[in-house]
Amino acid sequence: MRTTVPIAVAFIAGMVVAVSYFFADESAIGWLRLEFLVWLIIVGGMTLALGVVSIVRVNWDAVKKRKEGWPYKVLTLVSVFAMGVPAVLPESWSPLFGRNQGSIYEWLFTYLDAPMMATMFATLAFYIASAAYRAFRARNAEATVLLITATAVMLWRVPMGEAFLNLFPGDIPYFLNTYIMAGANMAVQRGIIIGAALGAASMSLRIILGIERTYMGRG
Amino acid sequence: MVRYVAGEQFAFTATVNGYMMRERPATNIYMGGFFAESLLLAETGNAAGSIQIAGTPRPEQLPFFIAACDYTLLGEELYAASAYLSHQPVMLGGLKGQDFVKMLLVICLVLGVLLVTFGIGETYLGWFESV
Repeated sequence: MRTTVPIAVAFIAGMVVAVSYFFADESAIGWLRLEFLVWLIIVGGMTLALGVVSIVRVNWDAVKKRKEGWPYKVLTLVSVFAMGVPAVLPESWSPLFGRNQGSIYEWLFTYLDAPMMATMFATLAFYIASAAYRAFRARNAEATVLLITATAVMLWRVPMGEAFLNLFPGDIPYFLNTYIMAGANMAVQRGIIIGAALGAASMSLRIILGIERTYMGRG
Repeated sequence: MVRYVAGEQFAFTATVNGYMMRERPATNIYMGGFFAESLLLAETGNAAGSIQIAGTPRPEQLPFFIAACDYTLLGEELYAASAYLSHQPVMLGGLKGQDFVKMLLVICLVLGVLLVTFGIGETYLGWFESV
């Protein structure tokens, strides 16, 4: 039962969605596909609810047992409820509820959540610098070619660097654009994309036909 | 135990990065679709001294994983990994089928390049455009 039901659900859902692309939305199978997409949203919502339960259980347990860093767990729990509860309460009760302009949720999102996300994203620059330093060390011939190409492309991508490259004879920016970015780089990317698309199609077929069962946590 | 930490990209990244630096895991495995968080996670794992294995079908994230991880599965290798590890003939047959389709696509591409180069590829290109 634990194996048959998920395989049957995967087969029916996969076949309906795949076959429905060849039929109009108004047809019975087209209607079924749209219905399945609604179910998908409902299932997604339920998994989010499970996520909230998981967060509350894990953090509450850590607070109760006074584990290391428990004050941070209190902050996490307060944040989950401070953001979630006012957002789901009806707006008709108070302008502070709901998710519109002036609500608690909107205020927390704009003045706390968004700046914190932006801060995390900004740290990426430093991570790129350290990864680039490790990747571009000229240890052998291939790494040296990578170093030279990467340096030239990085220079070309900023206006001051492009102006510097234009000091040299020959149109280096044109060469980089045509042969490196639109040539070698694009060719390799398309090769990977074609391979990945074929792999995804093959994997989907294996799941739909019940050959691939690892998504159930067993082979 | 599977733990849900956050639905947002960077909230999830911050939690996992903190966890990695505190717990110092021996191995980190990153599999699936990644965006800007790929390098944040992989570099932190590298700093924590973990052995790292990554796999993603997104070509724009592959350089980050290659720079920061010990092993990286490129594109289709991610989907082939379970078939490769299972050694099941039916699953391996799927990989063989993929390779045949790829070979067919390469032949189509080379033929198209040759026909267009000699100026007789209009009908050939028309077939693909109609598909």
